[in-house]
Amino acid sequence: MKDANQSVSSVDQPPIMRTWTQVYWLVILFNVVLISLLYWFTQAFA
Amino acid sequence: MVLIDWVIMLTTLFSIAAYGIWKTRAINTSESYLRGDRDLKWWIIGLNIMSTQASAITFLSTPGQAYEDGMRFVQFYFGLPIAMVILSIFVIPNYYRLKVYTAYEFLESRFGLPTRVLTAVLFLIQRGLASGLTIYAPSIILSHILGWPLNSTILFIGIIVIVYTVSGGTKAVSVTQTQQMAVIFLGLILAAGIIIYKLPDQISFGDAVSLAGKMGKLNVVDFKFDLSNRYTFWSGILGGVFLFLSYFGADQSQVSRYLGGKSLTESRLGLLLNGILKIPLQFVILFVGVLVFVFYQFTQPPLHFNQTNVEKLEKTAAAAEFHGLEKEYAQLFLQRRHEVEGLMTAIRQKNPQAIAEAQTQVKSIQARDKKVREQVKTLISKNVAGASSKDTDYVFISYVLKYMPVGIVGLLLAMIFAAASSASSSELNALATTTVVDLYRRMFVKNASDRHYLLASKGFTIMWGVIALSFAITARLFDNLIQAVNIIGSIFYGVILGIFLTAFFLKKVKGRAVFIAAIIAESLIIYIYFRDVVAFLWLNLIGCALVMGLALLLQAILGDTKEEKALDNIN
Repeated sequence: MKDANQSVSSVDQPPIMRTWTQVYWLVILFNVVLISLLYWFTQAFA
Repeated sequence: MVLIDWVIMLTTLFSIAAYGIWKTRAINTSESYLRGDRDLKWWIIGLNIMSTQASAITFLSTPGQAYEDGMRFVQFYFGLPIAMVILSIFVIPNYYRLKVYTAYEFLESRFGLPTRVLTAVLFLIQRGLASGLTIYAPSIILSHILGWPLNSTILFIGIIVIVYTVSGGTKAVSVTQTQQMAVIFLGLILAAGIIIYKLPDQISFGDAVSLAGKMGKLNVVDFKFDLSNRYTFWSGILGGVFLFLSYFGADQSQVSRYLGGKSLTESRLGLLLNGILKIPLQFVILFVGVLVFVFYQFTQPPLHFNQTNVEKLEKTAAAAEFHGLEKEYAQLFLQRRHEVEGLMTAIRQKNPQAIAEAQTQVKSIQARDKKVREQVKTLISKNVAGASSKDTDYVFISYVLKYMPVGIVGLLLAMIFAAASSASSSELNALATTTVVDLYRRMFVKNASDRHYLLASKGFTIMWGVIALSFAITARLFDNLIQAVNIIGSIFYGVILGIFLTAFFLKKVKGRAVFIAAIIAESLIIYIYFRDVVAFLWLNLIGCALVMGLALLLQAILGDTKEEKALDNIN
């Protein structure tokens, strides 16, 4: 795991945000919000 | 279907294929053919990944599933974004570092040649069988709908795909998939818009959503932990992560898509784009099915959605009984529409008691409705030889043909054929790449010219295309074909995933231990399957756990071989 990240870190920068970790959290957060909205959708119209 | 629909459908399909061939006409090296030019941008990779996963069955079956069962199927994809993140962190950097053509090539650097070959062969068996089904399953539905002979439909899809995949390899798959995905998005947006437009005048979009919710179709998220319920938040998160790690990390048909990226950054972003768009995309497809359901609350739906079955049934001795059921169904529809209108009024008045009473009435009629439909299915099973009485796959396509405007019908059929082609071309390309890179070039013909490998790659693509077509054409001879392919997939997928997870996460385990573990695990899985101890879907998880557990145990008992110790010292 460490090897993999080290081997690419110098050339592999995300185009948005500072680090890849922040991009991953963004994807997870987006889906948490999305699933929360879908849950609200389920409850609101049940 | 009228002439203009045929023109739109055929022009769309042939122009995409022709564009793919033209765009890749200069490919003259095996590297370009097998890996593309490795110049893809992130958004193209994302579209290619989604296009590979979305087969024709996605657009034929999923809306029907929502029509019958509501939207809970979307939870199946809840684990996908997590899998995309895990792959981006742990898997893609390793593939890039080693500059591999296939996922299995990575295993040689980690475990040695035997494990690479074993995993590649397991993939070829599993995906080789599935590629026939990718063509067969939509062909059987489309042949019923278009009135074409089944074999002609199979050949129509298969030959177009084989021609452009053989011509341009990985690059042709990528170029055509981008166009195909554009057609798919356009088709979906138009379909949803037109279904909303076709709702009765007195029903607004908000009314349709409220009504679907009160009729139990908007059951999108269910947090109850229930092992017997296939689609819940928990089954999606827990099971989905393993399933999608396996599919996107170890299945060459997907690995090829993101290894064609311009850089590691582009590949990662492509996968993450899939992690962002997949759930909304599935939501929209299911929502289209829910809108069709609402439409059919005010317009009488067919008693049975597969018209071919109905036509055959009408020629049997059971025709009179069928017509009796049709009359009963028509009366039930009028009653149901009356009750649904009552429910709609209660919803608008925001009167909870009236809503509850109307819901009870509607449910009661729905139960009678369902009973009549089941009776028709029983009649079909008993009287129409070889017919499948399941008609949910025909709900959306029969709506399209009956109610969509001229021109849109052609576009939506092009969308379904495009989805069939995109999934199939990825499979053929991945099968050929794995055959050449992991077996032919690695073991049998090691030092031939590049032109030799280019021609061999094209030859193996044709070979797998012919195998897929032969399997699709003979598929109807096997009663439970889909289940058989799913079972074969479950028997192999878990072990393949176990090998990859061991490679990435159990650093102490070496090649000999994992190879023996994989052989024992595969044998045990086959034994468990024949003893019928658990439902076959669980074989994925058991196979994966067995490989990882046994590999750890065997490594502790056997230790490293001389070669493995030497390799450790070098590293």
